[in-house]
Amino acid sequence: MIKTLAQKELVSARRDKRFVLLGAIIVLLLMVAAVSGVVSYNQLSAERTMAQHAADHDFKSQPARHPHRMAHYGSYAFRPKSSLSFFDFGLDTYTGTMVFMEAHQQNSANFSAVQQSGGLLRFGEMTVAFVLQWLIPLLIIFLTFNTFTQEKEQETLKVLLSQGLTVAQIAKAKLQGYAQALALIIVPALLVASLLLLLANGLSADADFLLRLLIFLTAYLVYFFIFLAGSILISALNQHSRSALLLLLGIWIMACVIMPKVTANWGSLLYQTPTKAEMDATVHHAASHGMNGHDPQDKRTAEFTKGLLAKYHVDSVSQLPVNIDGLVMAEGEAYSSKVYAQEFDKLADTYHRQSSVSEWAGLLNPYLAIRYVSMALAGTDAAHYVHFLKAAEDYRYRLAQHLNHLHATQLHYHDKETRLDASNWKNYPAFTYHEPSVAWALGRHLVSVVALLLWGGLLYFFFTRLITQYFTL
Amino acid sequence: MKKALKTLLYTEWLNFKTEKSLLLFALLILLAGGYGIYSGRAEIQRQRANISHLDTLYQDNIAELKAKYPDTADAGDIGYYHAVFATHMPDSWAALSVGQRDANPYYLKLRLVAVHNQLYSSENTNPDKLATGSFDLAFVLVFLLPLFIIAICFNLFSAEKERGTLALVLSQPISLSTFLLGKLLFRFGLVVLLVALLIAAGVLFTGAQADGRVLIWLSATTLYSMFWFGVCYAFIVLKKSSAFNAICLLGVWLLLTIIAPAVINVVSQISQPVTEGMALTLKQREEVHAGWDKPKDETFKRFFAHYPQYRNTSPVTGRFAWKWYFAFQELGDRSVESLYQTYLSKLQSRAELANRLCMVSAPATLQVLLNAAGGTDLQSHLGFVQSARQFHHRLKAYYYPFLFTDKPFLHADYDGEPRHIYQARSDAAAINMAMLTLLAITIIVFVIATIIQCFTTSELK
Repeated sequence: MIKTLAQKELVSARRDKRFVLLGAIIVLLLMVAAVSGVVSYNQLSAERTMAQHAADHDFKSQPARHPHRMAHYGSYAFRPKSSLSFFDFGLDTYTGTMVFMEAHQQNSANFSAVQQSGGLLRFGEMTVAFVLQWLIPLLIIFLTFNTFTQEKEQETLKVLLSQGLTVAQIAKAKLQGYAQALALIIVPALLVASLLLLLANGLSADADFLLRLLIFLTAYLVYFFIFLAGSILISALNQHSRSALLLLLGIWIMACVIMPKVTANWGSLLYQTPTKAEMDATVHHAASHGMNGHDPQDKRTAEFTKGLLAKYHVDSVSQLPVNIDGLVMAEGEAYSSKVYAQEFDKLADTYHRQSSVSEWAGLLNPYLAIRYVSMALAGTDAAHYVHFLKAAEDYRYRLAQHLNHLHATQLHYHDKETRLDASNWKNYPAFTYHEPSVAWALGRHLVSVVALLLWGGLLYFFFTRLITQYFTL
Repeated sequence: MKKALKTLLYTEWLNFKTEKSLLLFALLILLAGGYGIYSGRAEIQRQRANISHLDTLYQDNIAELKAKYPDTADAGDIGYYHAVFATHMPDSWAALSVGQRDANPYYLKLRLVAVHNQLYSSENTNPDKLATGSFDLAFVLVFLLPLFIIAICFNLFSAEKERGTLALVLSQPISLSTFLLGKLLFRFGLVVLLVALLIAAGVLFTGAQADGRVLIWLSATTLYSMFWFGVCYAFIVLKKSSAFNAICLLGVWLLLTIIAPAVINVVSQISQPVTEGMALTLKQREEVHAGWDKPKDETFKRFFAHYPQYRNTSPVTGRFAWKWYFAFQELGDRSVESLYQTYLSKLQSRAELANRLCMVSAPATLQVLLNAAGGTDLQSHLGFVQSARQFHHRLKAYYYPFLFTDKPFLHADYDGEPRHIYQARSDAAAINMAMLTLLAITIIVFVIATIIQCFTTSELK
């Protein structure tokens, strides 16, 4: 009997011209999103890989130079597109793509897409994630808002109940039927999108990538289930199709359009970010006056020199077996980088706290939960961005210290003329970036993961119970 | 007819007072608008505070340099270690439509060294916040106002039918179209009133200058409301069920406010990629650093071609001199000038393409208009960058005489240093263009709605 009921919903959905039309539109949009996603992924990926190669090539082909010249010549880090990013652009459009890495100074990541676009970009982006997060829930609402109310209005529900079925059984059967109808649309579309993704990656997929994809798909299934069960629940608890629909659409508008903006704005009003100029000034001040305020740079250098003279048992710096210029610079770099790291962590923490308002709101709004989980899996969230910036800073620091080391060991005191052989730069490893693991990615968004699971779990447990308890004919 | 309409409007007023949903929606839009005004104001206030704090940083930097060089200094040292700020002051209307001001830096820290890689620095902003966008009054009007209009109009006809009161209405001596017109007029009046209230509150609360832009905002949003009433009307006269109307209207909203702008954006980005920014940064580094290895004569020969007035100044004999350093910095800038012009024109033409395409979407057009009115669009930012470059030229004009005539830089000379403020302005051409577009699409929608009505009235009789 339940099977027949489920079958009935599936058949009537397939016969419903409006459902078929809407489904077709959504599949079409999904395909447009996937294809344009692949095209822009390929375009941006190629741009950045080429730019990275060009920058690396430039660095490696520098002639014989004084090492500190090279430290200022510097190197560039381009943020590679993560392989899943075309499913969910996430914050990629809003984050810088190119970092200049030089001695003494940490530069911002520049050339984000948003800075090179007009205001239109702010309306949103046509991505697979957008279709899955916004449009599929609407399709679900459209499909199910009158599933109970219509049967109440046409009094067919009484007939069903008189067959000895409970409301809970009917609800479950409906859930099953609609899930099958939805699967007809979503599964093939997602399979094609996944295939495109694999093709875009040259069919090379490691375990982490596959795991990300798998969890990505599973998370969306949970998300769809939440809307499907919730929508049927509301239909069952309402007397009229019209009121059920209005309530559902109201919830959708609140969840997808209004609430995310409110929480994001609230977060940034609550926690202030220092400007880049302010942060630079703080780093500069702390580096020259000492982190504790009474340990200025001259004093630190004097003490360092004294220690060095004592260590090598000589009277003047020119007698040292090493070049103190390089060592002093290395000391300065170490100190200022430590200060910068501290300030940067504070900044990243502020970002995190600003966004956590929205993440916690995920407990009220499953859209926010899936948004963060999806971005995390696609590698396009703020955490991945910060991870990249830290990798770039790490490379910058190592490069600067490597060059300071050459300065200290291969040049004489106050020697500004000698040029070191070009092989020194030619053989230095170029910047490469490795994306963190999926466990790390999800670990940054435990609140959202829990919120999504909680929503799914609660609806699963209470779906039939609530219906049985509050259902009225 | 006139009397019937008057009665109808009066009935609607009575309805409005008793029907809770209409009142609730009106309160919600006022609430959202109020929050929008508050949060837009907070955002721009913070930008203003940050800009005025830059002066403290600037003075601190000068104090530090004065301590470092207690008597006189080589202007080269100052040019190298001293940073000046180019600032982009928001217009008084910016708080009502924050636009791109949160995404683009509103100040640039400039030193005398090569300018090009100083023009693209970005500000510390949470990308998550940027991606979600600002909750300003423009957002409420562009995104939420249509939803409000849809919510109060979608079932104008169908509800009467579904409640069974339609027959009663039609038995009265008024035509169906007069009946609908009355209801729509009442609601239109309500919307215009609410929007005017919000705009007035916005102007008062954010201190926006009460100039011609009040009228621009009012007329643009009135046109925009008319557009959405037209869309609603086209669906109402189809005489389908409330559910059908609700879904279709939400679909149209989604299509026009999200999908169309997103597709336009994808089209303009894929068809007109801009890679010159990265390319010119890389090229400039090559040029500037090659300067260290090039013979000094050659560098000066190229430099003096642009600055003949310094040709007969003292030659550089040693390993290093600041004037030589800044000469090759400037030559580095000049070497990427043509690439920079290409970069700018590509950005411009991409923005123009997007603006041209956006006439298919009334919401996108309104957003373009409101951003242009508040000087918060990409154009304003490009204007700022352009003016920051001119400012850098002024800095060079101030420092080069010190460098090339070997004049010592005194403490008093800090006071003579040029400063920079770029005041964002509204863009009249963009406003007019967008206003005309809005007018055109509103007329088109009304024509379509009338055609639909002609086809469907016959069925009713």
